[in-house]
Amino acid sequence: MSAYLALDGLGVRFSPTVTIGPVSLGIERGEILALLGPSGSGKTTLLRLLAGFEQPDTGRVAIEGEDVTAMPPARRRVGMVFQHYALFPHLDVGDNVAFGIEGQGEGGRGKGDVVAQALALVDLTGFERRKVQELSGGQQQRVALARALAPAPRVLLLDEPLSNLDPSLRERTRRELRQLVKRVGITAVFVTHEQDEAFDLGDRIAVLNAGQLEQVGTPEDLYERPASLFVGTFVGRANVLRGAAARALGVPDGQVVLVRPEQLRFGATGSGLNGVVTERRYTGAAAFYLVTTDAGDRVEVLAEPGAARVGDRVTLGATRRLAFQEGGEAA
Amino acid sequence: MIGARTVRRRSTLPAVLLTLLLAWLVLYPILIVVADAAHGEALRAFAGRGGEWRALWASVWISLASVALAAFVGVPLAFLFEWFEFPGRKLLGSLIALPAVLPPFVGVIAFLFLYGESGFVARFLQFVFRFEGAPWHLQGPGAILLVHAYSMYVYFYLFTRAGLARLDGAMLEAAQALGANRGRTFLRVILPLLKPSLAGAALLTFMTSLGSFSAPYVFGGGFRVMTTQIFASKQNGELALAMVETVALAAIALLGLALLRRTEGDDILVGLGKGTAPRRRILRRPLVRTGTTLVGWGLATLLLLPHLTLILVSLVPYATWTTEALPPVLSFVNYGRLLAEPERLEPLVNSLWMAAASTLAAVAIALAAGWLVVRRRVPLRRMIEGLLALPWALPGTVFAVALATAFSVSAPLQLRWVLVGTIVILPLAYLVRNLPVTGRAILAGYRQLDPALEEAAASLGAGAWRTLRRVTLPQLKPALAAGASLAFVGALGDFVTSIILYTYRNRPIAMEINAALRVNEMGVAAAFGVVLMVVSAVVLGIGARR
Repeated sequence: MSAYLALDGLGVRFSPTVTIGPVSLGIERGEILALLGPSGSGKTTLLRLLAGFEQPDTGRVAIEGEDVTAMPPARRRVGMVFQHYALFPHLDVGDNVAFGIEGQGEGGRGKGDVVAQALALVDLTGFERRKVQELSGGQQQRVALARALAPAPRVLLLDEPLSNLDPSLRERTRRELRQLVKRVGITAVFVTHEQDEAFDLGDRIAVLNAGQLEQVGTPEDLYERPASLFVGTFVGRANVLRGAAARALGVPDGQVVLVRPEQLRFGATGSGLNGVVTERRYTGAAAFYLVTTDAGDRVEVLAEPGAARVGDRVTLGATRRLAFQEGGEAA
Repeated sequence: MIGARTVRRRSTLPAVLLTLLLAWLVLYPILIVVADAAHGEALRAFAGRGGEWRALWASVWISLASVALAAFVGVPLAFLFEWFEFPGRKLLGSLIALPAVLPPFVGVIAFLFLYGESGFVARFLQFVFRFEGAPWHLQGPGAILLVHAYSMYVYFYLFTRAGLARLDGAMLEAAQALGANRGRTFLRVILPLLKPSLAGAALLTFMTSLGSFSAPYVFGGGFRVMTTQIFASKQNGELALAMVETVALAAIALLGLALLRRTEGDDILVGLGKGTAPRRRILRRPLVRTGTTLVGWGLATLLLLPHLTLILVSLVPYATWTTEALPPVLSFVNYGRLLAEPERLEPLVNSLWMAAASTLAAVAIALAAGWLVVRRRVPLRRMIEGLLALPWALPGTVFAVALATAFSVSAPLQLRWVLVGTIVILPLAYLVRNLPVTGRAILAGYRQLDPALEEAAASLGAGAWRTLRRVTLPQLKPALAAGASLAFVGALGDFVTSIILYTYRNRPIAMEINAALRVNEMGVAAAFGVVLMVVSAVVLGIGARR
């Protein structure tokens, strides 16, 4: 247990069929970790366990070596940015940001300085006396961030921090958010169900499925070396082939093969996976081709725009492929 | 298209007619009272008598104290039932909201049977401790306040629960994550967010308490508030003085309304309310769980005890219960008498038809107002809405006196006829009293209605009538049911206007209960009370169905 933020066998049991964990995971000081998973995978619950809003049935949480499992949220010194921000509507921007430092008993000038600093950090200098209702969605998000950072927490938690923003705003905010968190140097954990967001924002990503931790790693790790069929299909596009189709790509019987669209090539008719191009979707730099194999599988191929035409009979070869046991573990 | 145009152009005339009708019903009588009150001698009498000022002050402080007491009972109750999960929570949670919608007069007599000098509690204590006489006199300001707190806590209870249900659970978690403990979270986050709800409840309690008549009438003794003072002046034949008192009470009511409205402020929750309410706490520790359950059941029983008492007393035949702690004989004989004795059946029938008639009229007016105010671009929209709401701002006694004054003179040119003493006056008074609640329900329903539905009907070739019958009215059904049921129950249990305007021929149930109490027919009075209670609950139940 030497990691800055350590989860050790953390588990919750909601009912005999719905359980989360046990999850063990270490997060280094200053690291940004993304919790990625489909809805219902338990990623938000895991975040709330870290914040202290949920109590685990098993395991423990430690920050800087201090066991905080039984500590109430108010004493954990963990900042949180909520999905809908949860800004206090009856307080103005300045009082919202000051809320967390009032409790620490710092009064007078010092408080005003901290608020001003926190607002400057999120580029909202001079917004102290604005009403939160008057702010745009992006500004509200930044106030929520300033409020969470003002008391100088040990860990910052963010629950789907970008889901409430316009799609056009998301990509830019994503970069700014990462820069800001890195500048502050705070250890951060955030929840998302979008792979792009996890890749852009996180140093490492923890993939969750049905309450279980599937894999933790860098974006490259997850994409190139998925630990399970689930991770392979959930992170990035992938064709999953079984039986004769898998054998045609040179994988022994009983295994499942996972091939990414860019790892397939159109080759001369012969050995490989035979089929007909049934759809072509042009994206500019490249095109997606949908190939229906003779066995009836539908395979997606990413290739140059002129590589094939609809109706062409083609043979597919794989430049790389990943094999899994039918159960899901990497072979 | 041409049809629609003509309808729109012609809507000005209906709007003017409706405004005139409403003004004649709710404003004109008040103005007549104001004019009559501008009477030198009566004004001097009012200003010179200490009793008048005492009654005025009593009305104010009783109302303020009622607000405080009702909040003291209702707010903790709301937290208990909204935030904690225990067996029976749902059922009890809705049962304890009942006293507010049941007729106030029924609540008062139920209270009398339970806590009065010869009520259950007094008899029980007498029996246990062998007291000689009754252990207390349930009279004066204390008794009035007790009754008010006992019935008006519901406003705080319901408003606070609604406020808590709208509360964003993430707000509370945010406060915690920022290091706030429970006390600070409560003071800095929960309370400010509940402020609109609490202010709304305070306003409602204040206005209800200011207009409260049954409780001071039954329990006041020598202690007078303005409503009972007006009634006494009228009984003594000091009509001019009664006018001045009426105007004074009306002025206090409007002043209170204006002041409290200002503190209410705008609803700040609306802007950001996106999250979901905090989850109910499941109490895990068995001791805490048992304790909370006991407290919940105990409080609910205590609050519903008067109404349970009423049911018990209604089963006691005449003169069978003398000194015993518990009634020795129970039977349904009283209910049989309600139906078998013609002079008892009459008030039942009277109340039912008068309530039905006034409800029909109120619904018709509210529908017309809704159509004009929401759908048409007509002048006088604000005027119509204001007139509809006005009776809410003024105590029932004020309106009873105003109607009694306006319609005891025959002057057709002034639009005044002698209606007092006829069977028309009571339904008319009920109608006026019910306009605000019916109007609000139906106008709200109209506002929620998507105008595109009516336009779709028109584009499919439906005329105004067919659109109303096939599209608008069916869509408005929940609002109509709510507005009508509230109006019906209000009229059915009315005491405050009836006592001033009734005649023997059209005496309603409440007056019959009053008469029965006077000759010590407790069982009959209670049976009538139970009938009112049950009919009210059933009608409200039907009205609330979606």
